[in-house]
Amino acid sequence: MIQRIRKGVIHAFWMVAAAAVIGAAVNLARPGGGIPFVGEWSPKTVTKIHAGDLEVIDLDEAFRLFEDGQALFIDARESGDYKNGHITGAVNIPVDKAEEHLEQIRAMLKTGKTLIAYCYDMDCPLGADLVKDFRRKGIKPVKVMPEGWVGWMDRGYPYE
Amino acid sequence: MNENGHALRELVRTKAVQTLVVIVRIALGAMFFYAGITKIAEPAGFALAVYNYHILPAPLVNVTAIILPWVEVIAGACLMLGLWIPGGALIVSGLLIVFTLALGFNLARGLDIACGCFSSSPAAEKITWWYLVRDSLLSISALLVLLGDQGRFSLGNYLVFRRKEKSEEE
Repeated sequence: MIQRIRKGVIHAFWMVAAAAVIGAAVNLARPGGGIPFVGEWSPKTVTKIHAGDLEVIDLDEAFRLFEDGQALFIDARESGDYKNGHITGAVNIPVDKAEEHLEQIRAMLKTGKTLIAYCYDMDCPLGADLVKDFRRKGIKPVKVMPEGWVGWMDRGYPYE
Repeated sequence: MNENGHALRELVRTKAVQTLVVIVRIALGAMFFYAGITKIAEPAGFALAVYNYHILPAPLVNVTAIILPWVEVIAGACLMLGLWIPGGALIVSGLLIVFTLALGFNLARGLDIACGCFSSSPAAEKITWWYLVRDSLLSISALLVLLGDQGRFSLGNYLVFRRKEKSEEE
């Protein structure tokens, strides 16, 4: 038994070594050079990945619209998180329930106000996911606020 | 060797247990092979999934995303074919235990993230407690292969057998 595990460790070492060589080679050979071996990972870069080509709105701009009564917030988190606290006046549309709320979104758009989806914080993709889902269903002009609930709270902006 | 250990050895050698080990070995191998391929297809997405677990330090995220899928593919292929079975089984059980811990850790702190298990898409398969049960069961079956495999129905054994035959002919 001990010998078997010892043999396993040696084999495993070579398999991992082979994987490292092949992985690195394949990554270099990819069109565009693959991903960098050491990536820059921070909430900011992650936000960019999540949002892609979506229209992003920052906290200050969102707050200004909020004060003017021109912002309608959409909380993309689970309903439990929403119930624990959300931006004042926000409606809750969890990402997997987008389908059921399409009419509501269309009605909200008709008010002429700016629709802003958000999630927990910059690492959380749900706000962007929701906006992407709306897009696939033909609803385009919804913005995403990457700083999310945590960013809003940190500024001491109104919540309920 | 005490009585119990002896009885356990006999049990592991029975045809029923060995058949089970072979089936589990091939199924686990195929699963890892498939899981690795889906990640190789989408390296940036998988790197994001790794980052989202918030376990590895940032500089190690991309290296992991580049190498880990190939470890899965190679270990999976070895288990499927029956080559270097102890090595493949050791890697697969080790990975499954790490995955289970990472899942459990993030479920416990309530992080709502993508599993990144069979797909790199952040929208698909959010982690749930069911994944924890699944990974625990898979870990146990991988350990069964690691400890119980005797090389039945494997390419490795076939090659050894052929080599023996040849040397006897000569």
